[in-house]
Amino acid sequence: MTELLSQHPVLAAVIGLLTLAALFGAMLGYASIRFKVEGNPIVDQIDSLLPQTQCGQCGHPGCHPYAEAIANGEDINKCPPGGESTMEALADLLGRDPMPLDADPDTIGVKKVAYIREDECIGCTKCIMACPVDAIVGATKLMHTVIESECTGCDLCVEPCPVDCIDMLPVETTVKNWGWNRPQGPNARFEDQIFATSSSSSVTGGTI
Amino acid sequence: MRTLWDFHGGIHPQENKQQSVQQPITKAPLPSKVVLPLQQHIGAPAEPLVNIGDSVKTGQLIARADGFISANIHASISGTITAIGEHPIPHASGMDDLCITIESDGKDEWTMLEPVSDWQNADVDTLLQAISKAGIVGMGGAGFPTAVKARTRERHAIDTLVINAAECEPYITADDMAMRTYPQQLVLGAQILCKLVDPSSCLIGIEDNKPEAIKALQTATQGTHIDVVVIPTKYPSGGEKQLIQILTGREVPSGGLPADIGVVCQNVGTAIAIAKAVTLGEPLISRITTLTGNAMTRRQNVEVRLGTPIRELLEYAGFNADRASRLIMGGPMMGFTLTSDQLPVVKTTNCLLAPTHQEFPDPEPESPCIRCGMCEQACPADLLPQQLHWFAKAEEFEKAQLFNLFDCIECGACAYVCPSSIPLVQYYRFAKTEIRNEQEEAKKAERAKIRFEQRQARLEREEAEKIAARNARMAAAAAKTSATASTSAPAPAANGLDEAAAKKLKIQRAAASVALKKAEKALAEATDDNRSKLEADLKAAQDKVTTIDAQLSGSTSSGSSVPATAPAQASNPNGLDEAALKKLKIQRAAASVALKKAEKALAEASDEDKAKLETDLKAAQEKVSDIEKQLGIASAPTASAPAQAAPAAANEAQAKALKQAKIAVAASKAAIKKAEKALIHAQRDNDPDEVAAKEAAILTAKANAVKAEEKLKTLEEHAKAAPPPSSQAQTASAAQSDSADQEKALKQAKIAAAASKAAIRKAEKALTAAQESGDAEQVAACETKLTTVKEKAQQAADKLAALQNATMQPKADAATTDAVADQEKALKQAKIAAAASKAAIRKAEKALTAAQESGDAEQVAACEAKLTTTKEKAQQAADKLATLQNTASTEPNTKAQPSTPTDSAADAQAKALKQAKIIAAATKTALKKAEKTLAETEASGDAQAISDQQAVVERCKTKYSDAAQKLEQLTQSAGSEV
Amino acid sequence: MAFIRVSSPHLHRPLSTRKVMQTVILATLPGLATLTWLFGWGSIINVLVASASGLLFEAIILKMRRRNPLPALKDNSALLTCVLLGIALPPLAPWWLVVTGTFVAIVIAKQLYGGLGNNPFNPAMAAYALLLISFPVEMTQWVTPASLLDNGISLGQSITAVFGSAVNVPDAFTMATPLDGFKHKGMLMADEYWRQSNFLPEKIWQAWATASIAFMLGGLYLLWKRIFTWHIPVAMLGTLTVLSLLFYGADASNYASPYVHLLSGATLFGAFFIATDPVTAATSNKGKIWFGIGIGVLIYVIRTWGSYPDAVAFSVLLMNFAAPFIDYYTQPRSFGHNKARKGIKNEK
Repeated sequence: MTELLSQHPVLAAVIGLLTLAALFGAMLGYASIRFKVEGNPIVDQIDSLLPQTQCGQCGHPGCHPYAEAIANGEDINKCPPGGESTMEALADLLGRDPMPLDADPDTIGVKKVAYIREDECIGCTKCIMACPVDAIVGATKLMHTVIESECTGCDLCVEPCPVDCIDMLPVETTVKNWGWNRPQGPNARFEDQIFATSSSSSVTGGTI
Repeated sequence: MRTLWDFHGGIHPQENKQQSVQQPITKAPLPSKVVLPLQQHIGAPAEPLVNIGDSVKTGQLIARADGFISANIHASISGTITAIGEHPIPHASGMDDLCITIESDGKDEWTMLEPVSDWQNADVDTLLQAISKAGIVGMGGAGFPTAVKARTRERHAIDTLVINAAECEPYITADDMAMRTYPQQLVLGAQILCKLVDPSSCLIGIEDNKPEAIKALQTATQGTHIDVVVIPTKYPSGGEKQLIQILTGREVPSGGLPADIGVVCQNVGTAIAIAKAVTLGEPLISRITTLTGNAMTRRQNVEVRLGTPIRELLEYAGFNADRASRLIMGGPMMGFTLTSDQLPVVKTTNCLLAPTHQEFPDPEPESPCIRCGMCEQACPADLLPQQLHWFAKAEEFEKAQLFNLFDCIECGACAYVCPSSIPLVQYYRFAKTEIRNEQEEAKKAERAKIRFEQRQARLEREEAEKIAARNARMAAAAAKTSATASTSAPAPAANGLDEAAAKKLKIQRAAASVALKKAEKALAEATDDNRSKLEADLKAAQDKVTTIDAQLSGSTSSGSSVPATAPAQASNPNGLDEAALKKLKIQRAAASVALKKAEKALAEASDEDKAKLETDLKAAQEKVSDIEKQLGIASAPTASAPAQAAPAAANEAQAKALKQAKIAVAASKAAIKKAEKALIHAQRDNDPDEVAAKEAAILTAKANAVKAEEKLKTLEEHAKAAPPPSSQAQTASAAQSDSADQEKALKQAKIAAAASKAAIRKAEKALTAAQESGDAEQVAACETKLTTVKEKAQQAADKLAALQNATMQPKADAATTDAVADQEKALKQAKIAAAASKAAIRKAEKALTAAQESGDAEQVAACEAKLTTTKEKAQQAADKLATLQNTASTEPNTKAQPSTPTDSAADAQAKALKQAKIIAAATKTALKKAEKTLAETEASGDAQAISDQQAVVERCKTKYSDAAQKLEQLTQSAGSEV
Repeated sequence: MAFIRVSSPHLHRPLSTRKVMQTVILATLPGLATLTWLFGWGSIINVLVASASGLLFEAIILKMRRRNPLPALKDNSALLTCVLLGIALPPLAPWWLVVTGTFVAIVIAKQLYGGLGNNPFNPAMAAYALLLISFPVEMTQWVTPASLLDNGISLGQSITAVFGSAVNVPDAFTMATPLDGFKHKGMLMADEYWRQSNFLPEKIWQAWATASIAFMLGGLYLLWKRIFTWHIPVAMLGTLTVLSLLFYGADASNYASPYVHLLSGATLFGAFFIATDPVTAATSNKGKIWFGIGIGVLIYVIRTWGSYPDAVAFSVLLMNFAAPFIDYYTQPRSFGHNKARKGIKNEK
């Protein structure tokens, strides 16, 4: 045997390589079983970045399907409700280049909430069936209403309404959620911060 | 002398406290009205107990604490409640919140006060009760309900009570003057607090810049165990955490409370209010406020009723608006600017500052950070302000949080020292708000996700239950049939597979139609240069949609035919024909969309490419008429073939053809109308060429309409001839089980009728409005619309009537519930689609009205085009619905026929048929593509290329006709086998 | 009255960037005056040429960057850089050397990195180091103190020397700096070298020490004005003193004394005016101490074992490199936290 090998070095090389290949193959096979990862973690990570409005504006039925599609190479710019920040977070996570959002720039970033004009509602339950997060309550022939805190502003209830009584209203700023805006940065004009002026007469009634 | 500790940083701004301590505290004049916000504290807003028109007395409870962390609100004057509603409140945002307004009656009548008679011996609960009843909150600035704070002993061991008398902010002297004037009350309040909190030591921390107050306190505290601790003046030693560190050397842990380290801290004003509440029973209805700043002539401290409009106070103080640079509530370091002088004084208003431009010059513009580190030297929380600023600026909020952004107390020391005059505090506030909002949103997204998943699970469960129930029924039925006669088993598996395929196709279709919509939008926005490219894109998208639609219809029809074929093969040809028909219809719809688009493009196009567009238009029109012809051919065999087999099927096909024809008529009418409108437009523009072109278009459209009407007539005649046998057949059979189903359809139709009536009303309203406005054109437009809507309403009413008639007619066959259930589902879906498209129409109409109002002719045209498209879609949906309803009514009939054991042959045939269809569709697409290329080459004018391309088109046509022939053969053979 | 919405605080200390820079420029004046008194007009001419060309470069580059040049020119930062560079360059250096230096400082080291506040390296020292490497001859010829010359150098002679066509300053006016001389003492023992008094007379020492002390006085004025904190100068000078004491004590024949290290060359000037540049130094107090120690060590190492006689520029630049790293590890313990955070990773 040894003699045969020494006489045919090619044979020795082939056998050696085959042995190595078998060895490494076995190791890889073992590793793939031993360290098997359940599910697709990247999909869950992507899903956790998406805004979960379940609005389908990306062309997928829900956020998780879009997350799966992204994991399979779909563009990351198809989520208008998530806006620029979501796209950037996705780009960060996946190491892809950020790309401009694929949506009407006027509608990006405006948080909306559905509102049912209740005296016009005929109680058809179509919006209830359309709502992906069960944020509309009501029963057949009874007026429906939107649970504002649960509404994701996905727009999906507007289309099915036969009497067109659902409006998408921008989320109102109140004292509770108001916050300071970002300063204008270097060399901003001080006058920009003035938002009302009052002549002296209106303040003091002209008495002083 | 006690050991004092120091805190890092701090600043020494000009104190400017002398101005307001020259005069003793006076009572401000009674206000003419007060505005009391329901939330002057941290926590939940109070709940109003009074109504508009009620008369109240001073000290009367008018809003009750709502929840654990909340505070009572009392009337601060006697008078009448005039308003309960939104009013601007003193808040940095300048926004509105709920307030109660009391108009004074000038009498200041008080309610009965209930003091705690012997507080030394009263139990803790009585005292806490008295404090919370009086609505006392922390008066230093934050406004935390005092009763809650006084209860900390229940959860924490407290060893030190700190009375915060540091008052480190420049200008403010409210606490200083209160201590000089009411030292006894302060000590009393401290003693009451000691009784509540039970600490081992009680310290009053006071800055050494208030010698008179120190002296007064030292006298007052003699003989008590309360220590007056004098601390060096340094801003912000009055910050709760900083004062605690100075006095005890302990640091309040990040995110924690003073109570965590055994300390409770109360403000001077709060302690005095407690003393008043317990010994006099007086609720918190007034407070001491400093009026200062050089824009006022009377700089002093006043005792002012809560809710007093600032304007009245300013008048009292001799405020000169011309000299003032701004109006601040609170001190110069942490106060906020006021955005109106209508705001009321609230529980936390310790100062009103009206500085002149000399005192508070406008800040220099922000310049770049030079990393000088002065902010870091000044920060009392030992943060890295400039790093936080970089992070906030770059919106790297995660890093800002890692650098302990939330330990920032917003004292403003960093911004005070910043040589680049960067509004650092605003950067931090911005970052904090953003972070809070992000957290809020993350929470909401998580909730939405859970709700979505739960909903999905629920739907799946329901679906599974339904399927299980159906399977059970089917199994029962199969058992029955196998017991009586040896027939084939149902094929639910095949059915399920088909359904899955159909779902996939639907998703694809949704994606494709999104792409289509996008392309259309892009087209609308595009310039002339790239329009042709975009149009090509659009066409490709349309093709795709059409292909998918075709597949979808193929698969749904095969899906719906599977259950049908399983029990009986008789329905086979019928179903196949239907599919072919549907496909043709879809093609027609696509073609007519293309036509419309071409027309629109024509309307918008400049003269140069008009010629080309017109060719396009003509080609599209030809195509439409081609397809219509095909449709006619296709529906003819459908009408004739099953007529021999089953009269009901024939009837159905005929009805369909009829409807089809009607649609064609309606569409062509719409086209005429549009063309006319375009003509008017063109005439207005005085462009003779265009006018001529438009007139030609109208003529063509009219011709089309005439053609369509003729066809309609023919079909109607046919239909008249056909119905008798079918109605006989139907009357022959009995079917009570279907009546419920029909009722549902009826209800649906009723709703549709109601909706269309609503539409009519809307249109009428619009008409009236237009008439009022006197705009003749608009009136005309509205009238046309009204007519259209009325027609539609008529249609809906017709449908309703038809359905009602159908309900009257008895139905055949009771033993086919499963198939009926399936069909019902399809029917429901179709109905929803119809409703949705109707909604879309309404939306489009709305857009149209808006456009008309705005008077933008182009937009109006665009809207009209869209409206027509949507209407067509709606009609398609309605059509589909009708088809389904028809099938629903015919299916039982076919099922009633005896079944023969030739399932496999039928299956094979169906497969072959499907393949043939696919081939036909593919060749068709190829043909279309070739034609498109041809059109492009023609435009380029290269003769050689054109002839080449023509050859290609020819070849494609042959292929297509081959495929179509084969398809027809197969269909016929399938039909003949029946 | 205008109702405005501005964030608190509404009070600001009247100390702007412009004033900070202005104060620093003022503080260089005693040193500059001393230099002029001892070495003639050269330094003043340097400063003037540098300032004029530097401001011009700043204006041009800001225009090219589409920024408004006015606020930036008014903040005095470019002027300060030019003044520091002018002082650092040898007196009577040819004008093109100065102009090249300001170009490097303003355009490359400062504006190309994003302008004020964004430059990682001290612009004056970046320019100085580049000139030293590129033009070693011109950069190492220091003017002979006026007290050693028979007539001194007149203003006219100086101007001719700076703007004249001659490549080098007349040899009669120049000589090596003490540190340079010590570096190249060859095989001589330290005390032997010092004994060659004809080569290094007392007067040169006096001149250098006087100028250094004048700069230190300016620096102390800045400390008193709280323009910067004591951490960097104290750490840097302390380290240098300790190191030189150690080696001098161990082997006085081969190593220079602390006196030589502190009072000759640019040590004091660098400690108070260069290393304290806030933009490029470490931020926290602890970080500043490490930053100063680093500079001190590097100065000693390069002077003693390196190939350059003086090392302030290189040391400062090297520590500029290290500043972000130092900042990363020297965050202060925030109020209410048990320990300081290291780095910016999330501790979980």
